[in-house]
Amino acid sequence: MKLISYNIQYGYGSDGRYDLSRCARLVDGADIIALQEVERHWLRTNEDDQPEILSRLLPGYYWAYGPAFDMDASDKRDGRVVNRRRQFGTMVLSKLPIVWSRLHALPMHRTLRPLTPATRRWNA
Amino acid sequence: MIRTPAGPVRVLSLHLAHIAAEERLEQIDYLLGEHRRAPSDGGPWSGADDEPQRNWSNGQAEPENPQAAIWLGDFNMEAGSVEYRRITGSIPYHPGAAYIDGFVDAAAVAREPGPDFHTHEKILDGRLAKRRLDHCFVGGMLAGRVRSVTADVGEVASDHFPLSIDIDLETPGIGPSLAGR
Repeated sequence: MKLISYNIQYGYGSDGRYDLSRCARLVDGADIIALQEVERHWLRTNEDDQPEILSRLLPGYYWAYGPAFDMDASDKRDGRVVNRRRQFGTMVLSKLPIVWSRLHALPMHRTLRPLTPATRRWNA
Repeated sequence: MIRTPAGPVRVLSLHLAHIAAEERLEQIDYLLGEHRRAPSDGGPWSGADDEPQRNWSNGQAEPENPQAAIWLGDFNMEAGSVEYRRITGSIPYHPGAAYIDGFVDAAAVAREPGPDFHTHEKILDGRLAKRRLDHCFVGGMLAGRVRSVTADVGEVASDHFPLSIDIDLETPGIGPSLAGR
């Protein structure tokens, strides 16, 4: 079997172009695909629902999305809540069914200072 | 969990923290703990249906929560780092040995060792750093099944390159004791 692991950087290429179909073409055909940095409803990616788009580009696959990051991104229109979640996470696609899946939120540490060239030099 | 012809396998898509090794070590310890608990954990069902009148099983048999596992992902660490060694262990006198509840780097046990490769390029301190940050670790029971590990170096669709693993998950034989039922 062929397995692929690919951090797609939410479809943003090293050439600065946003194009999820390029990522889909690179993984298409593998038996099991593990993606990282797949998102839903972010301004930088047209508020796209990327798991949905990828599943349409890869119609032969079962899939499960694991949104480790999840925030409200809802609207209210005419008094009705249009519920949406801003999400970021991992995705598994498989030619064989994914019998069950679980999302594990890993322990994290909050950073106080962003990573800058100056601090990088200091750490080096 | 995917039922391959070789047997049921838990396949994980992982993304570890990108700054401190200590943060990644905590995350790896969490994942190793989950991995070692798998046989007694039972997966999402966590055991037999004790309220059959509510049909928790939905008419299905309890699925496996196998010990057999494959970790794929962006680990933000390089081979030989302290985090890498936390996953693979240190076996200086018995290279190639694998523990039943441990992991091996698929690239290190592949039958057809490919050319050296990297999965990420970034300017660090004015120099182009070519690093292998993406990995595939397979449980000890799968160590003999890896054929090759390669990367599509140079692809521009992301800031990482895709990592490809060719592994025999067709031949049956992951022992039933590892199937997790």
